Amino acid sequence: MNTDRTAHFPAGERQLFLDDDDIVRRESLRRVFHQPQKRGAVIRREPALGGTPETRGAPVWDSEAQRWKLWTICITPEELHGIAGLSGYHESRDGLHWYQPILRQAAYKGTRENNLVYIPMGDGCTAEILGAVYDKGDPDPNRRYKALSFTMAPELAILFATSPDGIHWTRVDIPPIASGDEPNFSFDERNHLFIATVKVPGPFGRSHALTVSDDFEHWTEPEMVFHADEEDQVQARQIIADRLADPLLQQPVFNHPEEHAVDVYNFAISRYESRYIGFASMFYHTGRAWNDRNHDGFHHVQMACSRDMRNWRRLGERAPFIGPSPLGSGAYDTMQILGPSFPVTRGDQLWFYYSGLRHRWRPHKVSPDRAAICLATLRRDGFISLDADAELGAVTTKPFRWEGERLYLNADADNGEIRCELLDETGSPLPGYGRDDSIPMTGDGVSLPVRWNETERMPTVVSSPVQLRIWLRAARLYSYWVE
Amino acid sequence: MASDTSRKFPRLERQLFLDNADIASIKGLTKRMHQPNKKGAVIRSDPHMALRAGPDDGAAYRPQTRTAPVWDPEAKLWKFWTIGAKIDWYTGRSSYHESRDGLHWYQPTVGQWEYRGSTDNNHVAIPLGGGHTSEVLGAVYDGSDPDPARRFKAISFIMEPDLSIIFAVSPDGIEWKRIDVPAILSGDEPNFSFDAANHRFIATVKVRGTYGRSHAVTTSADFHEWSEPKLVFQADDHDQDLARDVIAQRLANPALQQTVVNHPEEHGVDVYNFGISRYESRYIGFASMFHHVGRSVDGRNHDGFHHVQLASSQDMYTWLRQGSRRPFIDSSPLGGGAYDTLQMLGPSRPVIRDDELWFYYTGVKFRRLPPKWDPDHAAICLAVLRRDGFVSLSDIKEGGWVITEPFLWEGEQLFVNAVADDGEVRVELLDADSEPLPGYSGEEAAVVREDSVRHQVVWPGHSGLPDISDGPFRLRFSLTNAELYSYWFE
Repeated sequence: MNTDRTAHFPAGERQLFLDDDDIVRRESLRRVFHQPQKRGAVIRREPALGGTPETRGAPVWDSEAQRWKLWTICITPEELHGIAGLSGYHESRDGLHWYQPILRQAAYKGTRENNLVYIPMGDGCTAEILGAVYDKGDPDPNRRYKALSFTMAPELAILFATSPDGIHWTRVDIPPIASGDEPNFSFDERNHLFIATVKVPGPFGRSHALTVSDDFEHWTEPEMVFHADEEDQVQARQIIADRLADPLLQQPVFNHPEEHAVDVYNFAISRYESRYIGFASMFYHTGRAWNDRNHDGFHHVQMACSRDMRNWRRLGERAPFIGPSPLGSGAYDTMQILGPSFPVTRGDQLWFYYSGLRHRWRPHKVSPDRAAICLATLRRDGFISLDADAELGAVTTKPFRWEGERLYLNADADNGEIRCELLDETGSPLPGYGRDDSIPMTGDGVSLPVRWNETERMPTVVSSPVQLRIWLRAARLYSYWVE
Repeated sequence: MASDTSRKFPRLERQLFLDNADIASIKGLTKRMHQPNKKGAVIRSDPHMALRAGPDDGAAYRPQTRTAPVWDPEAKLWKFWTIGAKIDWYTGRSSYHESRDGLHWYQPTVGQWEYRGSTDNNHVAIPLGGGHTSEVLGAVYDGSDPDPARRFKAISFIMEPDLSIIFAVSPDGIEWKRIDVPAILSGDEPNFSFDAANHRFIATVKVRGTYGRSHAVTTSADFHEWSEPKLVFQADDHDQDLARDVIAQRLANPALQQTVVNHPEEHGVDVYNFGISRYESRYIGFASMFHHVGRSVDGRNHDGFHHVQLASSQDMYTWLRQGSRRPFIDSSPLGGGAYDTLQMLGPSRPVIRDDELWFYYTGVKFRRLPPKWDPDHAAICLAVLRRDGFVSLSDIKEGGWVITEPFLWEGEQLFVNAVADDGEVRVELLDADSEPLPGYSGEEAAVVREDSVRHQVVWPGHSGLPDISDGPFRLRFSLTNAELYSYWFE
């Protein structure tokens, strides 16, 4: 056996079941894809500022200020003639209730009594804070906040900026990277890698390329990594037909069946535990609007995973991770949905902030209150579970090495039970770690410690990797890890 | 002609079409109740405000409210009080919230009350003596009170020695002081508002009625002497007939949250809460109609759901049900992140925000808790309606008209709130005998052709209204593909 290829799990790194790469066998277990639970709008249009609030970022926790900070894009480029982008700056103690501090940074509608922030571009031009991260490891306190922005002049491109506080920004003097208008940005803290996606044309329209940097100065050449394919187009025609027939959902203004298709409006990549995850805002176009400039249509947010950010596996058979909300519930994500940039881990949950818009092409007499930042929450690691019914099921991992002392599961077994056994590379149970030695787990928790009759710890002296076999009856398994 | 009418509309008081009291005749028009447009939750459970109501309850603070935000003109902030849970039987606390825009709310640290070893929280309460406190249940701002320490006025609810409401005052909505007036007996669902135009404080108290929970009104001119509570609103036989249909339809609708318990023989409806407030020339009432579907396993209370219905009154004692008793605020469907999917405790009163009315109400995802319930299951929700937008008159087809009773007015100009951008509203003045007034009717009628909540009516041949000493007069509104909400004088 080539031990170089043996997985090595760092302490505390959760191993999910997004793909089968770490699994040798799965018996009588169903792989189930889970949608987050919607919580509705958390940031709405401010009457004093106008605009339609959207975001392409996620909140970041400022450990010094003890506040969550979030940037929205709310001033339309048309309003400012394309030379001045402004972002709304928001703070929160709990991530649920957001307020707009008066910063007096930018003049807008004759006053500086607002929460607007921007990246100075010279000659009076400004750019939005499109996505921002907090890099607490940067030795320069003036560079702790790092942001990506988008400019339309002289060419469509992304640019970068830094800030000590998320309010005062300085552009980083590096060449802009050509991009369409839907980039995204995240920070893989574990690997100290800044990740940006830029919009590029692809075989079926809007597609996305990847560029990364380990120093926020030098970026790799963008490399196309995600676009729609033939199967998406086949699926799209059915999805559009189903939607047009559903009176509970917001309908587009334009419908030209010969133009029904799908492309990828935005693609956000972020590190999640041992994988990269991607949120694809799939844009279903229903027909060009009267001015022929762009399509009317709606979005679903789909999910994908990858080990290398280049090769992506679509999750849930391309079902929506976040789909449209029904009319009549006060929801904003009834038509356009621009997916989360990255999940925010909050205790036992993952929180997803995303943009919801009630229309794309506006119908007659539409309310200006038509967009909001929405929240949806999911159990931690809860993207995919392996589910067993009353019949006993089991999953066996490939051999792995590990750091840490105790094995934990994220699982729901309060109506059933789970047992764990450790096997050597040949598949034989390690003495004391067999299935019959395992104390049945019957709880529901995101961090359940595994116990055997004689020990609660992983073996201390093993010369070779081990395999983990998890037995489930009427239970649901999300992840496992050692810490 | 000498005036023989006592009907005189004060300046700026909008005249709506909630009832027919001011209408002499109507033809070809229909009256329609409008639901507000939901905006979703604006205040949710606050992890920093964890309260524990009982050993079986989760620790999350589950906000509800029985009041509406009030604008503090000095602080230039909206202030709002929510109730979540009692720390214990004797310690009622409210959560205090502030907002600049009424949409985005935060919880300021007010440092009033210790909780878990810290006063770094937004707890407010009314001290009752002996270390006991009670919640701020409903609050109003009385800008006319000469004593700045009494500008905020509130009611609260206590359970000992008897279930009753008590009263308190505050200079800022944060520091409260109980006032020394006798408590008024009440069930646990009172409501409170302030009729500033008539300087009258209005409270409803929960009492027993023919079909269960019902509501009595008590009023006060000075926030000290309160009238004897009088039963004014309860469910009737017709409500019970409607309820059986409403419940059956709900149970058959998978898009809606279902109850845990269902005992068809117990299906019925009563009035969980009734919030009365002054709106322009009438009183309006929001009735939280509780449709019970069956007693839960402990036999103590019903599982069920609410609709918020609308009623109007000229005197607070006789009520007209609006919209044929259909919901003014209905359950939200599942799947949209809404909290008002099962229980809804209606708005206490509307908040006028320029061209709109904002309604803050409580939404709760469950009543009897299902297995594995989500602790984040209650929120303060917002719904928004066109100003005066409760009821419109609109033509059924090919036009119609309404003629008012004769009236006098204060003011120099007539205004209407109407949608007429795809049609028109013709406005004529008639004399008390319904004869056209020369210069203000027929070919010389004023015509409105826009969608506006405040459109000044201008007759082509006149810069103003006729001399009021020649009145009273009537108005005739003729609608073609239009909606009329209100009229008034300024």
